[in-house]
Order: sequence, then C-alpha cells, then structure tokens
Amino acid sequence: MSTKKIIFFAVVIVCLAVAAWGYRMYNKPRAGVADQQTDRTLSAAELYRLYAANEHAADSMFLGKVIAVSGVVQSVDQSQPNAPTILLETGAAGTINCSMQPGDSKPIKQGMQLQVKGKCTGFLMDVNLVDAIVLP
Amino acid sequence: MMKQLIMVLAIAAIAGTAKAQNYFTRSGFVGFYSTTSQESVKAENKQVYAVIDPTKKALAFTLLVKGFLFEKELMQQHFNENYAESDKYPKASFNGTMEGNIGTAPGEYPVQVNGQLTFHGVTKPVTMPATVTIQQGKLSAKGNFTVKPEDYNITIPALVREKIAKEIKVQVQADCLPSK
Repeated sequence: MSTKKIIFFAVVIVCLAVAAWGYRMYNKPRAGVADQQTDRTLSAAELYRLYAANEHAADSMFLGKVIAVSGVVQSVDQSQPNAPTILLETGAAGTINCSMQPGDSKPIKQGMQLQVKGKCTGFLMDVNLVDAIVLP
Repeated sequence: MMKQLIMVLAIAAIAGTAKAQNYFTRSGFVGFYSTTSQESVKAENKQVYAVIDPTKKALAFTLLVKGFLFEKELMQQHFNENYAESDKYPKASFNGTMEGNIGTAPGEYPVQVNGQLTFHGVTKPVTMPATVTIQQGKLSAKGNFTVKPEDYNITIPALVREKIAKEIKVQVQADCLPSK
C-alpha cells in the first residue's frame, strides 16, 4: 500500500472517530448528580442563611454546584408525576426547594430528617436544587 | 436579599388584598418545546413560583432560568451559556390579569390571560387562553402560548437555525393551594 493511501485511510479514520465522538457528546443525556462529586455539605438552615445574607456571594459558592443538604421535610408536593418537590425547613420564611429526580422512589414524608444531594440553581423565595436525590 | 424583597413585595401586591383568598405554589410547571423536522427540543422547569388571586383576576409567576432541565446535557449547557445567558439573567417572570368569569364554586373556568413576560432582560406582552380549575379547595391554572426567540433578543446561530423552531411553544401549569 502506498504512503498516500495509508495517509488517506488514516485521515478518514480520524474524521470518523471525531464525528462519532461529537455525535456521542451531542446526544449525551443530562447527567444526574448520583455519580457526581459533592462540592459542599451543609445544613438547610446554613445554606438558606448564606443566601439570605448575600445572594451574590452565595451564588459564587453554590450556583451550579452539587451540594448535599440536610434538614427536616416541611412538605412534599406530588403534583408532578414521578418527580415530587420537597421543601426542607430552614427555620426562616424560605426553604430549600428540592426538585427530585424522576424515579427516585424512596418514600418521603413530612417531618422526616433527610440528606438531599442536588444541583443548586439559585435563589428566589427559597434556595432551589434540581435533579435531587435522597442520600442513604 | 434586596432581590428577594422585591420578589416578595411583587407577590404581596397580589397576595395582600384584604380578605381576598389567594392561591400559591412553589412547584408550578413551565415547559417549552421546539419541534422541527431535524430536531425536537424540550425543557421543563418544575420549580415555578406562582400566586393567583381569582377575586382580582391577577396572577404572577417567577422562576429560575437554570431550573429548566433538558434531556441532553449539551443542549442545557448551550441554552444557559449562549441563548438564555442565565448567569446574566437568572430569573424570568410573568405578571398578568385574567379576563373571564371565575366563580367560587368548584368547576372549570376558561379565561384569557394578558400580561408581561420578562425573559433574557426583555419584557414583552403575552396573551394566552387558559383554564382555571377550582376543585377540593385547590386552584389550578393551565395555559399555553408561543414565543419567538428573537423577540427576547436571543440570536440563534445560522448553523443550528433549522434545528430550532421559529416559534417556541410554552406550556404553563400551576396547582395552587390557598395561601396562609
């Protein structure tokens, strides 16, 4: 086989590999938090206190980060099928609003003490977490 | 803290009417859907804050833009970084009024919602048909409308223009309980 042919086939193989990688990356499903490293662990009261005191500073610590938050369940909203929203008490007017990952079937009831792992999306009346799961 | 106060005050403007029964949720739903021959895109936010006053026929919604979840990781990243610029414009909101009769008895009441949608730092008027349902002490509101990305200063690169619909369908649902 001539050198030109070898180079041609090598270029084709590289192009196909890049295209396959790009296709795979483009279609990669959104990652849940289960396999992601926890960036910070703290209580619901502490997380809320930090946000209420200084939203901008708290965003720099938590926004987009995977955090584990412990607290008592204030309420459970089952209005979204297979993906409840739970509120963790903070001792203040606001809560930690956790949108649970669909299919996380562990039963959650008001008054339970839980540790929830999720991705922080910021602060409205509450501090919000998405893709949340209950840690054992 | 100031932003939180503004948000609470905005809600209080509706919720604070004397003896009016207001309805509130922290887990409303907003989804948007783009369908073209090349690609279907959907994103859903299940942490929508909504307050509805059926007496004054007023309603307000607000949400965190980063709370929109996509099926594909890369799409979610591009949406936040390139289109919605959610670090710069982290919140979206809607304030509006309803036209139509909303009774106090359990039942379904069709209404027309008129209001102002703020997204990506742009505020535009929006109207939509909606349904208000009163049942077992709860009030549910459901509606849908369409938006054009360019109306909110969102530029779609030519490379992906054919993959994103010219008009994006938006669905809204809020199942609210009486506020205390």
